[in-house]
Amino acid sequence: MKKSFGKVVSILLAAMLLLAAGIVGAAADAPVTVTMAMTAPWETFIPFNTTNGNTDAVLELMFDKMIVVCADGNHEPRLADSWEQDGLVLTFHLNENAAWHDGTPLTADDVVFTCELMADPAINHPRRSKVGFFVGTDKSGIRLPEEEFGVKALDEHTVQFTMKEPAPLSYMMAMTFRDFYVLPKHLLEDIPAEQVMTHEFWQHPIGSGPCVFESSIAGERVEFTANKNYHLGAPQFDRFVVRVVAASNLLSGLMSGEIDIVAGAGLGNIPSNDWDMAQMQDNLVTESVKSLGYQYLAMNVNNVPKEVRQAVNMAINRNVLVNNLMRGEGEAAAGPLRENHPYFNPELLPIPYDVEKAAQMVKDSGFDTSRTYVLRVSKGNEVREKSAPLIQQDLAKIGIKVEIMTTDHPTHLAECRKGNYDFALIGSGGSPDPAESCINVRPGHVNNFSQNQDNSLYEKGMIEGFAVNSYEERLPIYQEYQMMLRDQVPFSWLYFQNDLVAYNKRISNVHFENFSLLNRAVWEWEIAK
Amino acid sequence: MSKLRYIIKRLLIAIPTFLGITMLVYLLASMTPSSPLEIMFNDPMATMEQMEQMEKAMGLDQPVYIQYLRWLKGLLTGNLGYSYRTSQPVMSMVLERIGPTLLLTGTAMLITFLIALPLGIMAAYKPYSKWDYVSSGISFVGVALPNFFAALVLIYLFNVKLKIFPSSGMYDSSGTRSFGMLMHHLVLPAVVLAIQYIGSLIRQCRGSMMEVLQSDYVRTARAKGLLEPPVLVGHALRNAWIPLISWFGMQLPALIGGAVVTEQIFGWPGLGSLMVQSINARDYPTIMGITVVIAVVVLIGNLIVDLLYNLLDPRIRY
Repeated sequence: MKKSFGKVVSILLAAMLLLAAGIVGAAADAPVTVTMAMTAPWETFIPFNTTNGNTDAVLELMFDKMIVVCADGNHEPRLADSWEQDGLVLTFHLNENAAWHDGTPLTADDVVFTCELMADPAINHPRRSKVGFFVGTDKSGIRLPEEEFGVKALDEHTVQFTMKEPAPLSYMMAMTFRDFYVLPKHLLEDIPAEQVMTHEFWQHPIGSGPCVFESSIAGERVEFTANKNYHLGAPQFDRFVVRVVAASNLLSGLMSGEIDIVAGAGLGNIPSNDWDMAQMQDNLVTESVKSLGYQYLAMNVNNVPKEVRQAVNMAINRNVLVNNLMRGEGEAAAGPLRENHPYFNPELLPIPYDVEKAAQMVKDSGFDTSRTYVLRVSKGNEVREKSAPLIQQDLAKIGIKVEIMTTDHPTHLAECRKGNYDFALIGSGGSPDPAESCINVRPGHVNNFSQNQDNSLYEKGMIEGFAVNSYEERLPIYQEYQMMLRDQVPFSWLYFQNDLVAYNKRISNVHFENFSLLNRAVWEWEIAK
Repeated sequence: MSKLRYIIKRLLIAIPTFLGITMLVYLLASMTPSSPLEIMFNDPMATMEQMEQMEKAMGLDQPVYIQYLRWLKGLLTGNLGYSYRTSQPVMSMVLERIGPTLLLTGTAMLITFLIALPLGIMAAYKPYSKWDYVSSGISFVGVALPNFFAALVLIYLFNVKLKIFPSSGMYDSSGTRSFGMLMHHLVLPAVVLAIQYIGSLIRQCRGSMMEVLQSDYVRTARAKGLLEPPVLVGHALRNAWIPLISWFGMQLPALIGGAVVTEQIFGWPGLGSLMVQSINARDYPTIMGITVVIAVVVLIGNLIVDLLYNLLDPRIRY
């Protein structure tokens, strides 16, 4: 029996080792492959049928957009070589070498066709607001047949967008054009609009970007070959693979070489628990990237009066959040703009922190401190979840009792939109344009998470700030807007969390600070062979 | 009652059961305090007008029973609808994921039977021997070890330290997708899943074999001079199978529904991870599509399990 026991164990071990050993091994002349990992899957290959960041990370590889936005606020060419604004009219001059992956030239007609498709009432999709800015559409972005459409091809390589209302170029680029992907007219125009979304084209999409779709395994990976004829330059890799990998496996994958680079921008960040070990790896480059994205404490203005909101803003110990929860890899937030943002108002510094004064303000306001208020937080963001009990303690110090209510993210959003909260923790991706936060305080807007009914912030940010175009003209307006935010305190801004990222040393010229703006510029990555 | 009549009766009972399951799941999904639109419009540019227009177009402004009846009508015509998230037909999305799920759970089950049955039989055959202690030890570890922890330990050991097995996905990034590569990627998730099954199957197998080995007909078989292997396999194991088949029947929902935690950790694109993504996005058509598949397979699977009882033990009549 002893012998048989030993035999069984030996056979099992041998089988495992044989299986393992038999698979490993790569050919010497293998194509140069880059594998990028993100922690959740893409949803669709239909560019206008999503608002999901993971999906955008895949889409921007195979489809082109007019421009790319950089974290410093600059715009760089992608499909368009140059652009200009004249009042309500935006004109883009397309790169004459741009072509679809099947070799057909990409023209201004493709851009117009994409906008017409997005405005077609036969198609229901969540990105219709992108075309709602232009004349010839209603408020939801549906085409009005009796009006001339505001997107026109002037010639083969020039396209013109006419806006309904004034908006600065910076805002339009950052909020509309950064994820406006152009689709091939010659492949989609014959499909009836109501069948476009379910058409087999999306099983094997043809784009014009730096990566050519090769295959996918739903929920696991998308594989591309390099578009060596890309109009902005041939990528240095031959193949590009986007894989879905659990956050807990990112570092092990990078260490073993299964993964070359993480997607960053909150879609594939190194967990803070793994950060020290990541920094110790010889084969990896690690970066703690300053992100534009911020977290804030929304306060329901119907339940929490202004004096109390000001007191709460003064009572939160942001340094504890940054140093304890993020181990210093972040920055305390004075408002929606980070300190290095070109529009940041330095008068917001130092961020007020005075617990005694805050407690007195709560007392003086007559705020009912006998009842327990609701602090909502959603699951999915570890730091944000952990910040809730710390904020609960900060509020307790000024006499406000809150009960933490944790739900999944869709429930959290629904309850916040309905106003079923007193306090709520919410995040935003931020933007190089200073008007990004204005819609969150716009009365009647779907994302008015403060339930604010005062129009003054919206008028300052999106009427006055939109009537002028240049940085010099806009700067004083948004500096004042930031001071108004601090005075009215619809939100208490908490922190900007850095994106902790890592990639293999064989890759360089990677600009992670732009990743959150859907600008990975993979054709510029340098890859040592 | 003849076997055929029994099967027909069971299938007829399965119809209201199936409808009850779908009704309950649809109701529970729509009772959650948010709608698919919340995530769909998690975008700074979204407008209220857009949301209202989309809600109407998707029929989400209708009462829940109307929505359910509309879905049921589609089901009866063989149409599971289109995913809110991907706009793809739900049927093709579900079929795409069934393969990886069955491969993972089927392999885990195969490993389980290959390891747990011999260990369970030997533990029962030689109680309180080395085999029994090893079996009990493995069993306790298997039952007590959470999946995610076992996964992290195995990844650390076999991926990070020994570099033998990959930690994620079904294939590497080379572009070639061979069967060998698939098996190579399958080892760790299948073993993690099997560890959990092995724990409970060893105990089941040991218990039922011990009971059978003490019965009169086993003593008679031995008295007739039969060798031990035929006694164990031909007489004892055949009768010990019945509780084991019951155990298998109880695992069926997990087998088809996927192993959510294991799939998530190892990036295995199965039905379980699709279900989690669909629930998070409130993608009702996909949630219902997966429910239909799980319900049908479990109802039919349980019927087959019941028929197997009769095959193994003719004394069981219908």
